[in-house]
Amino acid sequence: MALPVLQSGLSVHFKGPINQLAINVRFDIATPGITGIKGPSGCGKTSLLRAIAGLHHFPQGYCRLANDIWQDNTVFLPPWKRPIGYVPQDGGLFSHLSVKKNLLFGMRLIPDREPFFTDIVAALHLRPLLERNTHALSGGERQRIAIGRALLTQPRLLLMDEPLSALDLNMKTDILFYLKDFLEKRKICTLYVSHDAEELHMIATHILDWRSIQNTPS
Amino acid sequence: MMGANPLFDPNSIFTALRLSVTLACVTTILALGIGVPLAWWLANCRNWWRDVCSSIITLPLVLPPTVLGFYLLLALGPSGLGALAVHITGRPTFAFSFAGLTVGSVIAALPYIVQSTQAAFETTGRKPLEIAYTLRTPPLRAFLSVALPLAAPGIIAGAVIAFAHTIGEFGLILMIGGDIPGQTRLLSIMLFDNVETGDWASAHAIAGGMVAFAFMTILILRLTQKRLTARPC
Repeated sequence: MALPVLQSGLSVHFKGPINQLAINVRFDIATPGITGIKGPSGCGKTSLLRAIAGLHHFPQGYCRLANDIWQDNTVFLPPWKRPIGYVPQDGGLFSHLSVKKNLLFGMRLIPDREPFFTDIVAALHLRPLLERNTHALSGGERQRIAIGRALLTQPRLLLMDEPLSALDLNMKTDILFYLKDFLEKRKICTLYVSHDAEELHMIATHILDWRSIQNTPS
Repeated sequence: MMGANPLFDPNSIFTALRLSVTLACVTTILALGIGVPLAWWLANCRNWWRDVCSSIITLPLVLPPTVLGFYLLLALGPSGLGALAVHITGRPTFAFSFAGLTVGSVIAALPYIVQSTQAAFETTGRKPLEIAYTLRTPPLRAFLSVALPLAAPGIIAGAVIAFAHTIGEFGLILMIGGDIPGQTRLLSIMLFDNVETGDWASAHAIAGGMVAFAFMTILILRLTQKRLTARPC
């Protein structure tokens, strides 16, 4: 059997209109790590993450993680078949489920995985929230739960859209530190979108400027 | 005077009551089975003929029940679905039968369920579903575990109104069902009979019971909706 050509990293190219915005983006990330993406608000960063997640289908697009092609001219893998974690800006919690059930939505809690669950709950300071419902949570609490829920699915690619924007500085520093450690240890490729340059410098191994990934002939 | 009324017959009232409740239960279940998927489709469809379908489904709300009943009578009779009825029941018609009543009631109840369910799906939006997709949940499971429970208050409200409405339906029932004791004589029809024959005791029992039932329905609906929708999104 011939060995396949081993590829690594993330390769992305999307072109097309979305919400009256013309997107034409191309970039390759060779190594696993945390890639910060910075750019002005409204430039299409959220659309980029949604397209990588498979939630938006640009007819002209290419997306590959390591050897797995998620989208090209003939293939379009639906979002539920992509090994991703997606953390939207507002958390996107399910309002009909408790915090614990939100966390467990993407995973089945078998005894083997209990330590993993406990670790993440502890690291994100979620233990006192577990039995609560989602109605009275603060923005920061919602974001922490959304991060935990995404990590618990053990994604290969983590997409984070301003995930800590609602946290105060102390909590933000604390969680950034844990997140960086967690993602680097498990070699989870991460795209981290933020407008906060300081936050990006704290967590990202390298930073892509929105202008630098524009696929304009120069 | 009321006790001496020779026409007063609790048994026939109970027969009619049982029939009314059975019809309302069957109708509500069938209308839910048809209406919830239909509402989902209407909430997510962007075709121009979506509005056409929506209007057709809503029609029974606006039409006089007798008009709906008239056309259903024709449709269910020997020249329409009645031909099918011969195969299934051996009788030449669906009209003047419980099956016919059920068909009519489902059509009349559908708009209540579709409207409130569609509104609930539209309020929830696509976002929770998309989040579920990113958590490795395929569409059908996402629908059952996210979209459906989030729309539950709207679905329940629609079902309760559909149930109560079916109990109270008169014109449509009389048109397609007639007035056969034990088969199509529902409470609302019986009340009419009672008044015609001067059986005021039975009429009072039925009418009073219906007022109490309607009031309880609305009260329970209000109380449960308050609880179910107490969640800010």
